Amino acid sequence: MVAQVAFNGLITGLILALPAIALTLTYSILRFPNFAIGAMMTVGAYLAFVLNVLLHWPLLAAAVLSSIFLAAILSLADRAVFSPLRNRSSITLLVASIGLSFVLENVVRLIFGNTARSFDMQLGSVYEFGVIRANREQAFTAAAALTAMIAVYIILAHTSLGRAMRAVADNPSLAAVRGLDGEQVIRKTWVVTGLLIGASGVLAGIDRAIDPQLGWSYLISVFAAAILGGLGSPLGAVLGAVSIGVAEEMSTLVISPNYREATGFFAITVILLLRPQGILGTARLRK
Amino acid sequence: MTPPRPALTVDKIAAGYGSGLVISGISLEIPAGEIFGVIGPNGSGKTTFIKALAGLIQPSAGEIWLGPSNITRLAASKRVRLGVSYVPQEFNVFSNMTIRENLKLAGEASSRDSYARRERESKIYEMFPETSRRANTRAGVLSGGERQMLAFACAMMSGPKVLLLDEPSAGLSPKLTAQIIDKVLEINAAGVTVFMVEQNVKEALRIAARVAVLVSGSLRLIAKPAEFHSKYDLHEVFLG
Repeated sequence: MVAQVAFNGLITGLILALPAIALTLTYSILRFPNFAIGAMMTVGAYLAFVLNVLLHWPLLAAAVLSSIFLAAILSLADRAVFSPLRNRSSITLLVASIGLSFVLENVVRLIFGNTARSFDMQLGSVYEFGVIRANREQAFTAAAALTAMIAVYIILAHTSLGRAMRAVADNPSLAAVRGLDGEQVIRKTWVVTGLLIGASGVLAGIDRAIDPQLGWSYLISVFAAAILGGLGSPLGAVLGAVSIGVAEEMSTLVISPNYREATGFFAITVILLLRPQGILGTARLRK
Repeated sequence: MTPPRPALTVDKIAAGYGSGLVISGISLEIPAGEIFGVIGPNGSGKTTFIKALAGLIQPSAGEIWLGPSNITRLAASKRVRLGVSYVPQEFNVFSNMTIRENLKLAGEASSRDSYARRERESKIYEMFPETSRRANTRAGVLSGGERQMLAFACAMMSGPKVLLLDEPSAGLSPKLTAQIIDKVLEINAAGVTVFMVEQNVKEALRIAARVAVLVSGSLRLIAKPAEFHSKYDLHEVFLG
């Protein structure tokens, strides 16, 4: 029983890992916590819903195309909302992202209404590994999340885009005098994060019902995962996400599942008190 | 015959932070191939001046020309592609990247031609052999002198016409300072014009063809090093 719950937590952690990586990337490169990440996940889920349910595409193809669409939408949102505020404080950008989240959520509500939806997925066989049972949705989720994480690792560690993203995150002035166009790096960062958030929206839609509040139900956990891992560290975001996912599921053994998301709040409070820089984050002195 | 254009021309520039001006009315011309030094007391605006040349601060007045190109309104990254490279005094390498990654990044950022980049990278490894030997070492663990050398190597990856150096010997021992200065001379001998802000007056006067004294944001004088010994009293120039 405990092993099964821990396994379910691991899968939840893998779902959280993708938006947590996206959050940490936008935080380190654009220097603000993107509060709209939940609403962006919701849009990603609905785009895939249109392709999968209304246009009868296979879910995998729908997930890939909807992620590409979401990356395009986020690039436009950056031009319209964040780009004019680029030199403002992170608080200003945070407030702008809150506004954007309300706009995105209500556009979804306007088009699709409040009815809960779900993807067109065939119920498949259950795989058994000793005492652990994994269903087809969980296998799909694990495979998709791990593939996305490996892709992000390759981009960050072994490509010129990854080096540019790490450089702008580390020292934007030095990046500029080395010849890097910061705006171009930011635009490409939105594409990478859009693909991640789009994929995570689909995985969230597989895990729960698709409704306009879908992203909200993950928001606290995603922030908790990124903060626990250390904002700015993609590897930390993965560790944080898996820890939060497992902790949330394990908490249901002792408290009502309705309070599961309180685990995220609790984790944020404890981390900020004991290790504000998170597991892999770097401590910063403010003079 | 018209004389060749200076490598760098500064015409009455003023710059600062926010609404406050730190430097104003600065004009000078630096011929191609020269080592030009700028000295001055702390807070005289040397770093503001060099940042304005690099494009990190937008001048509020005046113009900056790189050869025949007006670069006054160009972003720092675009200036690099035209041939201006800047080595900041501090935080001048990406500490979380290896030496190789730092060099690769500098090449990728300044040129799209992968063949030219590879060729330049191998030249830089020849010019800075230590970077080749320790290519996989993380820049964050390098000593101050090694880090400065890596910063020079990265700046050279863009194939600059003008190299801007902000206090390259700051915080280094006399032995390391001598190595850094030798490297500056080697870079200059390769045809690169060097603009160097230096706190170390002795070194600036030793290697620069001409030296400008900046006091309270204005140029007090420009002279050859020999003239500082024969004609001017440096203390008087510094203190007014």
